Amino acid sequence: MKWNRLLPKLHVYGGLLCTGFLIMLGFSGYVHQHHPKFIQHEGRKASWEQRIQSPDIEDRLVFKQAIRDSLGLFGHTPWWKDYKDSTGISHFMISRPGKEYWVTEPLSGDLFLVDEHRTGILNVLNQLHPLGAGMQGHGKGPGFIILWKWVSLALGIIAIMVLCITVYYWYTWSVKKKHWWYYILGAALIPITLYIMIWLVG
Amino acid sequence: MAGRVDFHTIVRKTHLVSSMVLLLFLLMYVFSGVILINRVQFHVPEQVGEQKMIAVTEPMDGAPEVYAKKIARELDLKGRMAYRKDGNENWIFNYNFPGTRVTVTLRQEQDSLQIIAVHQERTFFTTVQQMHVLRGFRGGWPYTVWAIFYDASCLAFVLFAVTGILLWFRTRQKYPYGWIFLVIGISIPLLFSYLFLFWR
Repeated sequence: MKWNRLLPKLHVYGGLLCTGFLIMLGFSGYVHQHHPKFIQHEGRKASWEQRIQSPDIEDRLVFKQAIRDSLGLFGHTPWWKDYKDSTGISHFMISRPGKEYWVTEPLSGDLFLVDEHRTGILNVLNQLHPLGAGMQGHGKGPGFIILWKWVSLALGIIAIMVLCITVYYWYTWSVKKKHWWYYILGAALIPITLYIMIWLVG
Repeated sequence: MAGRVDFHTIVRKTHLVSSMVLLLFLLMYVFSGVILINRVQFHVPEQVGEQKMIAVTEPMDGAPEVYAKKIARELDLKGRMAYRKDGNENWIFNYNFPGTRVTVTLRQEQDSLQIIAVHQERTFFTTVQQMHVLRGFRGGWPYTVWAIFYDASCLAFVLFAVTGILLWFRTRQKYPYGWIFLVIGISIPLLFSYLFLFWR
């Protein structure tokens, strides 16, 4: 009897608590697959020059991370945002939620040019999704990144709980006819078959 | 009135049917997401790479897709194929098979092919990770179907949230604290977004 009163409350209140998180996941999942242009909002820009010791590192990724740390920035350095222009000068990007930086390396010397531009709220919402796993390899960021990781974990567990209660409700309320079981089995087989196919055949 | 469509029934059915179709996909994404958040708890096998250069026997002349297939045939590569041109005008061809990633770079001069193969042992964690991030319509019909399910899952996340709010609103007398949970639920991602937006 107690469960009968508790489960609907857990389902409704838990679901409402996950609302914003679910919308954020749905939105960023869509962006992950389609790369829409509307999130590439170009906000306020700033530029500065900074004198830092250029590290003597062969590995390009480690080199860029060392430059990022020396500049006092955090974020990841996407490999596809890294090029040499026609004059032989290298440019690479450091990206973090809310801001993107283009770093121009000097041909000689230690004066680096940093072009910063702010991104819009949609861009940040999109980046919150992978940020749930923390900022491993992305440098020293602010403390609320760790907080977001724990909040994401809590909301993820609540979402699983809400889904499990949903399954229980199906079982008790909705799935009464035999053909519904075939329907569910068919729906379940699609992702399983797909993954086995991709896993084995590639 | 005969034939009148009840809005509440539509919302309820949408909530139910979308959750049935996508249950396994959503469970997979939420479950694998929780695993990825806790990635430090799992053993991540090291990626072992090998690299070699070979001379180009026949330069690319035509569609890159045809050339990508030719490379795959000649080098006996399998898996999902993708290609792009980098900032230095080199053509990059990628072949992804679970556990193996091969990148073939055709230099701008079309004189040599650089082949980088990266192998990673298949474990529970790598399987979960690859399932979580698999995306894109290209690469054959299983990927296309997967991508359709992926999009449907994204839509379902939003649909669940919206239809869930509508269903709760109808019964809000029974769940009076719903407003508090809803406001907190909407505020959490917005609050963190603004923290990043205004962080120095």
